[in-house]
Amino acid sequence: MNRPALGRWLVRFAVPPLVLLAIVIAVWDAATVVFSIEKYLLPRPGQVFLAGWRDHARLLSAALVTGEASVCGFLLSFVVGLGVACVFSQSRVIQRMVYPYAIFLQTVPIIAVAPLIVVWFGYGFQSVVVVAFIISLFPIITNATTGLTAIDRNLLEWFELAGASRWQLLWKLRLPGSVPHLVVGAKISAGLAVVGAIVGEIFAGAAMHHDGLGNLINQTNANLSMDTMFAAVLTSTCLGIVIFGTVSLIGAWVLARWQGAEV
Amino acid sequence: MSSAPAMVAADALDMTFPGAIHALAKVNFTVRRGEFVSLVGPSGCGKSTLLRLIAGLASPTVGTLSVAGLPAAVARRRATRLSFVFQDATLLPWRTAAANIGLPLELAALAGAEREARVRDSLRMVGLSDFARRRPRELSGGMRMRVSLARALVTHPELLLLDEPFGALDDITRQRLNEDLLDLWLKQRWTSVFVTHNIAEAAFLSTRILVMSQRPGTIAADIAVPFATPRRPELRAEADFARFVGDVGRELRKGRE
Repeated sequence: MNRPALGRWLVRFAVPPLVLLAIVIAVWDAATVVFSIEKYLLPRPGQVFLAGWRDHARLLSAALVTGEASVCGFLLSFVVGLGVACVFSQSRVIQRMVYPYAIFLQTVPIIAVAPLIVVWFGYGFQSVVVVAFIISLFPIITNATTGLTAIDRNLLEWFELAGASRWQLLWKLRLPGSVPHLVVGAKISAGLAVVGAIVGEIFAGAAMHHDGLGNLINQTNANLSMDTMFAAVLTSTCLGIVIFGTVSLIGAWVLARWQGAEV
Repeated sequence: MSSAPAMVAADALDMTFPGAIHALAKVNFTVRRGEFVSLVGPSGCGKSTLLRLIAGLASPTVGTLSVAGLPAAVARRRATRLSFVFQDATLLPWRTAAANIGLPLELAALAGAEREARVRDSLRMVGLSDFARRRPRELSGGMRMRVSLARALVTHPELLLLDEPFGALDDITRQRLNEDLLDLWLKQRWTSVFVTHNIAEAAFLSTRILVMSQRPGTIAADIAVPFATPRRPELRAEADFARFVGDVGRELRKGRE
């Protein structure tokens, strides 16, 4: 992107959300003053900012811990989800057999099964990864299954005529053909993995050696330091954006190579 | 030519689809080795269905269809090298032209050097040597069809089935590709069965034209094309050619009644 184009892009896509952000902060700040809201209920934006500044080392290390768990959960669900989808693409019967339970995975309230996860995996990192995995698995399964099965009829017939084996069909047609769907699934799943990791930390993360953003939110909530808690929530959001953005960039790069576009 | 052994032999073929759609009725014909036979007929007459039967992609309800002396479905899996060209180029968008053309050899586990040489030959045959590394989306519709044709020829097929391959192209591109296809056929002499609804195209390309009637499709006329090969593009402008196209058109209309 050259300079004027970058400038135009900024004006079109970066400025509008920033304007809204400024308005929200101003209203928030004004509201705390006008209605004289107590700090332990709603801290002022400035106080949140200061808390973030004061505790930046703690926030950063918490973000790294949560980030690690999110990425592990995401990678796990990508691999497992793709594997499940590959099995689905080979057999309609297995797909019909298993799919209802995959939906169950998506609809089960994670908080309800959290105690069970703790029993199985103990408090801490492993359980957090498991929660992130469960929450981010479904979009990969559905998108990958769609990608692997929604192949152009003529292409399938062409492969049949060429005498391709089941394995060749999967490896040379279905898998590469599903790349655009996989990218979509990965983007959705990456965002959910961060949510899953933080939820996991809140309900199953309490451990001496695990100190993620979810733990921090728990602790600050308990001792009513709302300014730090708000800073932690904002950091969580940033972490989500960073991970989603990274996966999106990788996805865009993969897609560009896939289509052979001149980037 | 008429003494050559049969490549495709259809005997009393009958095809009914679910929902009692009677697609083909009592279809009899023979295509001999080295012939270029076109199937022309109104849309929906079952000519594409017939081609799919020859390819072994479907089975007739009644009757027998043999390819190189074997039932069609068996022939495809054994011995007979058969290539199919669809109306769409049906290329893999993530592969370059060369990688698309090499795919049938890759599936047949043909080793690297031999494969590369064959791909290079095929690219040259269809005049795309300079576009080997392009992806389908970077090629025009005509070029994509050429890649599809090269991919069909790279296996050195004995039987080439073409299902309206140039139907979606503009007329100039279509005529160019017709001329190139005819040249390639004269050099390599595979057996062709070519489905089209364009009579002039069929007349220019074929040695014989089978005219099909409306559904349920039957062979309404079997017409030998009287023009010697090789054929020059100017043939299309000659009075004899126009008269012949007119005659075939008349048979086609008869078949519709």
